Amino acid sequence: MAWQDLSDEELVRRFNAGDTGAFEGLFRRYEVAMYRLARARVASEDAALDIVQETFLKAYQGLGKLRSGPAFRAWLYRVCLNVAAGSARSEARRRRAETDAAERLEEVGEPIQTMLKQEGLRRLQSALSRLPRLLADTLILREIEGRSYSEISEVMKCSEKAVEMRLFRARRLLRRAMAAQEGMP
Amino acid sequence: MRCGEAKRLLNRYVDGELDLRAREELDRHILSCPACEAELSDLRRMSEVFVPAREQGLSWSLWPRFDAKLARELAPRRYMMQLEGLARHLVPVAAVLLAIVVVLWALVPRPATAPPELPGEYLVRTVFDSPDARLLVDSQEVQPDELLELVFIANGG
Repeated sequence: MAWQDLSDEELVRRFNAGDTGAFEGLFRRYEVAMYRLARARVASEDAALDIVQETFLKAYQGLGKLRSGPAFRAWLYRVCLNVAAGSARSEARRRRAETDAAERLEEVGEPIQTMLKQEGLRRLQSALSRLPRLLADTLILREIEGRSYSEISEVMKCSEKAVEMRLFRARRLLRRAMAAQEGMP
Repeated sequence: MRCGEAKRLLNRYVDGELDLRAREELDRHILSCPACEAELSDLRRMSEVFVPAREQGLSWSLWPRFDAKLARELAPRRYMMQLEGLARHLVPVAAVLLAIVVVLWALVPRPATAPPELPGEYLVRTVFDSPDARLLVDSQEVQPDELLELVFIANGG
């Protein structure tokens, strides 16, 4: 049976029973989601790819401790957000990559749509980096991953009410951060 | 519905987290309240800034690269884990064997052994302890060092 036909719970169960091949199914199912999350946090594509790899490496090593399959997605999001936000190395990469992205915008021959998209992404990353981490992570899960309040509360280990409050504050702060960017020369 | 309550519900509204009844009530309020309508527009515009991030994707799977990394980084670790597992089993066995050897060594009787005596010392002790030698020494006919010399000569020294 192909991994597409198996639930997370079944793949986790098989992996923990010694079928290491089951991990490939989990990887392929969530690699794009993890990449999107990472891209919201770091400007460099290479850094985002590193975050994805590190996230799944930690997942591979820690999956044996995860007994419940349905909790896998929430747990993986949590690992990814921690990896993305946790290291000073990624911070340094982000700053370096912001410069790279700005330089790339000046390159001749770049399609205008791509340039605009990259610029939009860069501005979003920059604004998100000014938010407290909990607020930024909550907003990323809601706006980029489209997760419900219930799922976000599971990832962030807080109540749905807390998710609502965080989103309210995060949007208000993000609006200010974006406005401040527009005011920059 | 008042503005305060409406503004409190706007985040849930744009996130699709309101039940049908609350949503319809808020819809009615927004239609009659320009301030809340503007607030809602702001929230929707804010959501649009995430579009470039939502559109991020991968042209190819990262699995082959990850699989290679897995083999590279976890193979030595697996080997170490196997060694650790082996050591975990062997250490108690070795400890038990060592304890058995110590106990057996302590329990088995061994003949008492005196330090070996040099031939000259044995001779001197024998000579001094002999009744004839005592007699000679006690009668002061021969001094102990003379007696030793005699013994030495008698033994071919």
